[in-house]
Amino acid sequence: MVRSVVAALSMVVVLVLAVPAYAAEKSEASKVTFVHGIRGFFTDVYLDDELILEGFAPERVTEPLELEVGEHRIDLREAGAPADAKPAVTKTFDVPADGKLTAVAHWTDVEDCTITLFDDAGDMIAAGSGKLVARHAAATGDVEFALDDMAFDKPLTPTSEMSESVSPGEHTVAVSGDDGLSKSSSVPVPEGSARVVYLVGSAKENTLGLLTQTVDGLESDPAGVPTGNSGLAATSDTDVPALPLVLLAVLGGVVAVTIRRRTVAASG
Amino acid sequence: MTRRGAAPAAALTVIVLLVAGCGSAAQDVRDAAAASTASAAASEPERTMPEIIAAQRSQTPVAADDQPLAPDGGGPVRHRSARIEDIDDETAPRPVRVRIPALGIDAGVAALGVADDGEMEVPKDARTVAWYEYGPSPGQDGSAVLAAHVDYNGVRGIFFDLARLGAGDEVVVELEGGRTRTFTVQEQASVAKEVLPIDELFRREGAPVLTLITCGGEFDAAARSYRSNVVVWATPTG
Repeated sequence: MVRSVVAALSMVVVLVLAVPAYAAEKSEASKVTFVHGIRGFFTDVYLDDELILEGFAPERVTEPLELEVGEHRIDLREAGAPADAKPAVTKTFDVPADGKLTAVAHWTDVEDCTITLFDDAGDMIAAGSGKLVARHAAATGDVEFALDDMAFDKPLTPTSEMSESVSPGEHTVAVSGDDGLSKSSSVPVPEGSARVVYLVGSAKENTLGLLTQTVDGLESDPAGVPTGNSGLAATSDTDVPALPLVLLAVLGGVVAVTIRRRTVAASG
Repeated sequence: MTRRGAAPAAALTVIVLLVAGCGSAAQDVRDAAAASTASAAASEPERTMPEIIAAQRSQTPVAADDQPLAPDGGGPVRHRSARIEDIDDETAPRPVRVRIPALGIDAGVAALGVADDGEMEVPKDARTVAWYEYGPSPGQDGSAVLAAHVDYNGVRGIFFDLARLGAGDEVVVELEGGRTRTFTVQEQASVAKEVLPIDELFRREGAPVLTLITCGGEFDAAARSYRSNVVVWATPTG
């Protein structure tokens, strides 16, 4: 009972502290990353009619760009084409608040390309883990995806994705499908990040291949730091009455406030 | 989509022609050139993606796929290779030793992560200092965490006296490869574990800070656990 009251009071303190800091950090804009999966195509990338990348080479990925909430349009024109030329590939898409998206340019069949949007936000990753995501962005049918020699139950269908929490380190991904499709690669997965593997290219042109991208900022913190088990340094080893413990929690909160403010001041 | 692309080109042509009708001679020449480019673009037969790529290949002596990879695109939007073989998870040199002259501490540092219960993994001895290997290395952006026991199985730990550190004390961290970084203590506090600002202690961005952590305060004998953490913040000074 005493414990739960203390815990509840601590929570109140934490919440009171957390709200202003959160409000200050809150931003409406989303992060949008662009992956170029059309082999051989050098392109000028326009975002909302503004040229943002000139002669962008295939098999490259941009840093995350900040985009405001609302409708946006990406146009891909042949490198060097006039800004008013008809785009070779175009896509209008909606950006949500505080989201993370990736726009992937890829083949849909022998002649056509498109841009598919994937949601990168997902769940936060548990402390000490990484995440591997497989995305189908290729001109081919369903494929089977395997992680460390374990196949996923369901096939990976075009423009869909699958993900799995993994330990940080090297993992083997393998994609197999019709017409002898078989691609595999060893992929290092960092802690707290999602490493995305894309199947891109075209089965009929025999250009299927794998690309990768990293989504950062999904990490969680450890729950605590248990660095003592003997009581040799204890300020008191008697059972603690409720009131002082409450005061301690509040005092801790005050210290936390001070720390937070100082750190913000120092880093700002 | 097809119409969206073509309409502005046609409109531009009309406007340019109108301007050309009342401009100077030099202006006329420029505008005529612009008009011709614009109308050429608008009237150019539509090419398929394979045709565009074939045309690009014929213009470039080097096969497009063999294009050397620039380390970074520069310009307003930065970009990097998306090829799996080009993955470069750059890691800063990890800490291997820590010295705190004010407390007579000179200890080895082990890289540890997260225990099964979700808490930070700590050494299975009293004398080793743990570095949180998933966070920044000392001196990098964010909070580099070094944690060690205040006591362990009835023995005093290497951080037994951590609460005695005060502003101005030095902490020297030796990194793998032999380089050292010096930090100066800014603040020391005992914080109840319930209100520990864990996101601040383990932040991976922002100004570099070295965060030393141990346990302290009240001891819960039943849980064999302290109710507070002693935390020391030190900023890089050399």
